[in-house]
Amino acid sequence: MSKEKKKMQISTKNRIKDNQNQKRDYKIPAEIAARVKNFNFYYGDLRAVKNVNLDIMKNKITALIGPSGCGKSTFLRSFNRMNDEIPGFKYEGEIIFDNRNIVSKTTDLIELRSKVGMVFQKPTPFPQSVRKNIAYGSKIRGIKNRKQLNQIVEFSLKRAGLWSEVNERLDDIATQLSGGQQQRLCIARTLSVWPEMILFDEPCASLDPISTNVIEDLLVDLAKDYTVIIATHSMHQAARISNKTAFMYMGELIEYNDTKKIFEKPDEQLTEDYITGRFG
Amino acid sequence: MHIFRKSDSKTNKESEVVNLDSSDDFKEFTSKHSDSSSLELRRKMNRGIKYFLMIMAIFASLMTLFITLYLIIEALPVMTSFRQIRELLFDNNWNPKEEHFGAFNLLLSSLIVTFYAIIIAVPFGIGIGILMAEFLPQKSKKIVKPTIEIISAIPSVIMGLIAFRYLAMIIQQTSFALGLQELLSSGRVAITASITLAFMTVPMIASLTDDALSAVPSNLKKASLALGSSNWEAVSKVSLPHARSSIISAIILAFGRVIGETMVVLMVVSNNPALNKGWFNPFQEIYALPSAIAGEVGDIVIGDAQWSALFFLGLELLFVSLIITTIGRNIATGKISFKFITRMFKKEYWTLKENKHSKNDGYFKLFTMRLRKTFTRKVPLKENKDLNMDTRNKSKVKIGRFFDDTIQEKEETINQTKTELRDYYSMFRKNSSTKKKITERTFKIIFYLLLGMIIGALLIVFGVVVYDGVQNLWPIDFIQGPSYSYMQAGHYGYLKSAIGTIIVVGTAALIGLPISTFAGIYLYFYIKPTNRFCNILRNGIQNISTIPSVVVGLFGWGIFVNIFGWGKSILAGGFTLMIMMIPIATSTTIEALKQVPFSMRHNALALGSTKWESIKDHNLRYSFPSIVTGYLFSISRVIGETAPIILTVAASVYSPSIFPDSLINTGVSMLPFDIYILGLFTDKLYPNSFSWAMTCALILLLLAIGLFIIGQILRSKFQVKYE
Ligand SMILES: Nc1ncnc2c1ncn2[C@@H]1O[C@H](COP(=O)(O)OP(=O)(O)OP(=O)(O)O)[C@@H](O)[C@H]1O
Ligand SMILES: [Mg+2]
Repeated sequence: MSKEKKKMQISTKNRIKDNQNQKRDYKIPAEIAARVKNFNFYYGDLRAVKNVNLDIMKNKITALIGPSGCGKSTFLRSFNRMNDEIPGFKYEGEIIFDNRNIVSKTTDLIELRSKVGMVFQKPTPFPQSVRKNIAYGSKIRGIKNRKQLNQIVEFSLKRAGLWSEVNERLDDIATQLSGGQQQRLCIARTLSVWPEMILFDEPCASLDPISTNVIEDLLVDLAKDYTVIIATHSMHQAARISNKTAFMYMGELIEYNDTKKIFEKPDEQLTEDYITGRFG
Repeated sequence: MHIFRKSDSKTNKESEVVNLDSSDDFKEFTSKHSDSSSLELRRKMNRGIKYFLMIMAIFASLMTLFITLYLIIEALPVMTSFRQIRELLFDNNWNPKEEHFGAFNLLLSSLIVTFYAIIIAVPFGIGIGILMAEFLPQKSKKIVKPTIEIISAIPSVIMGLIAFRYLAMIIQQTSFALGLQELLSSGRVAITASITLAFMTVPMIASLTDDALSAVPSNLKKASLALGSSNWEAVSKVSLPHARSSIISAIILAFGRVIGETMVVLMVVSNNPALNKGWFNPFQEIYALPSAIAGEVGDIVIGDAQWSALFFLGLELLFVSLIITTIGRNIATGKISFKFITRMFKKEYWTLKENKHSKNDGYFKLFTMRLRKTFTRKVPLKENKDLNMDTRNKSKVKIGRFFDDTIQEKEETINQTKTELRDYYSMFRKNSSTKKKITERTFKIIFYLLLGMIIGALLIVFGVVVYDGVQNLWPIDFIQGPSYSYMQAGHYGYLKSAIGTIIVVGTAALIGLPISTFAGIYLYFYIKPTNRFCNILRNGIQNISTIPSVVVGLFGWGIFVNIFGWGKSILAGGFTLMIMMIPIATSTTIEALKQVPFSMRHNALALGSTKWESIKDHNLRYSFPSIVTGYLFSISRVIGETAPIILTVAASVYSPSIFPDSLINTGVSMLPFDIYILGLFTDKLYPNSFSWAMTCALILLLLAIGLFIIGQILRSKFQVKYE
């Protein structure tokens, strides 16, 4: 009993293994946006991501696929350290981004998160006007000029393909928009601070097929300017839009390759089984 | 432009608007803004706020410790020897004038009153709780539940006044009519107070029972209904046993609260510490601990033996209610189990069929073995309960939960369901259906009767207050307070006391509500619920609410009135009431914060906001209406507090202005105090004093219930459901 308790206490302490020399230079080739090295993630004692190594390519769409509970979301949230919000988290290994190891104690989360944006599964517009939703990211950065904010709002909405639908109702409450529009609003909100990389966690899971198509097209378009990582349950989606695909299983990275290769001729039996729907 | 702190921040504030026509423009613009000088400021702000909130939370949670320590220090002079302590605890000669401080009978008196109050309240509370949880349709429950809860918003001094004037008389006359003079020669006895206290306790037991029953997984009940059991059978054989420990805990918690209740006993019962008629006879005069404190504090010399003895009484009362409440809470969380008691009443328990031991082992050996097994049985710990006992079962948002519940949890409940169902399955077959219907109907009728009685009593209370008090409402006397010389001429005005009440409670709110809000924010957002530090803080704040109000008053009287030298004054009273407000407002704040999901904050964080910004701009902002509702609720809870203000502010003052002149050293006339004083005057000496007391009661009731009802309405209005 007491042993268990002690274990619990140790495991709930948040820890980031940080024994690397800070002065070390993390140079990665220019075409690579982020390099993941021997990466592990723990929820308390549960190891949710196991020893993952991969390179995320710049301005490409990388899809994470795998059965439910395999750690896609967890892995994805590691790129902007949103996992830090969960009690008892622990990182091990490196994720090199912007020439630094972001899984380090000294990382400034505010700056990291403005460089690595995230769109969540459930569309979560703030219960405020559309305009305020988009302007929020700039406002907290100290931009107060109204005209400037309006420009940012307009630009972001246009980039997310939502401008023509909402330009008349910028001052309506954002929760009144349709589900698909809400999700694009969330994308526009993320774009408003111009991140370098955007993480999507099953962005279409709660949307109808038409909205899904709109968002998929948008993602392909966004990949011109941004690096995109998307966790998805839909094999079609991964095949249709992504350049690279990573297949995860029980926290491990089983296979990572060009999407074409993965879907046509995967190296691993497990990948093939999953893609052909042969396991449950 | 690094994502590290050391990055040099070249500031260039853009005052002119940059045109953002192409992606490149935009990229350049945002990169310029991503490391402006404000970033450092935001970080500092974030950190500073965190420490500020932490200090507030620690301050609030240390209050119980302060109070306990102070009481101990003041009580030390009478605790110097073992003999003295023994006398205080176990002797029954309470005679301060001759320096005899045997307080055993005082404690016993408190126990008698409380015990009978709980005995009376339990059938009502549980019956109404079952009715609300299981039988009332949703629509009528929405009316019944707040109605019952209104009872808990009635200030106890008003209940004391009514019981003193009416219930005592009724009881006396009944006993005379029945020829029971020997048993009951006066109405001012323990049982009168017990009945009054029972009425005031019913809402607490009822709503805790309702919560406990509503928390029973609905599939459990549905499954038993599907097996052909009647509704009542499902309730009595599935839901009630499942909720048993929570209900027992509710009863014990109610006991812990009633034992500290001061005004009713003080006003209703004639003080007599002798207890001539035996230890557990409720038909006698008593002298309860809180009454002794509140009644004797006024006329003692600071620092003498009686002073210390009173602080000792305060300490005793504090410990008794703390212990009882702690036991109650631990039963609710499953740390103490009462299962073994119910088990011992079953036959199988003693026959030990499954036991490996042979019959030759002897009954005694089996018995001891059984006992050892029951007491060493491991009890699974349930989750740490939240601050507010009343609402803890309602909240579904768990702290720190990022995504959906884990599958494991669901499986656990399903397994539980299966095993429990198997146990009950056999029972259902035995009963015939007509018999079932009759029992169900009988119980339903009984519960409705209980509910009817309580609501009837509530209406009577309102009726009496309005009937007796309304005649003096007009014309308003702008100046007079309850000054004795004026009273003798029949002059009185309530306005000044009403203003005094509002000013003192307002002072308390001004200090207490911000502290509570900060503490609530810290507890909800900044500490992990699994953290031990978090538990300490939470329990600390929760424990304030278990301190009897008269003890808080005693603390305020010692610290603010005497040591700080503020005298009886607005500040002293405000600070004292503030202490009582903190636990209530903190828990309502946390409940309000729970209504907005964490995902709001997470979305803001993902945009690069600091933690404080994400809270301030989103979760706090969206839940603010509910927080304000909680404020109203907290104010309504302390506005009728009487014992603390008798000790720290209230006085019969006559001054020519309506508003008090000074924050310190001048007493203020306040409604609860007027009710107490006027109610105990006789009409011969002071004409109309009773009807004036009722007028004050009416105004106070309007204030308290008004705030309460406005709070309830706002709450239902602002309860936004975020999907
Ligand atoms: N907040 C949490 N606390 C503890 N364990 C968690 C938490 N969130 C996820 N897990 C566990 O981590 C593992 C990986 O979960 P994760 O959510 O990353 O999977 P996923 O691949 O995204 O699944 P899905 O496709 O269902 O979203 C699972 O075993 C899950 O139970
Ligand atoms: Mg997921």
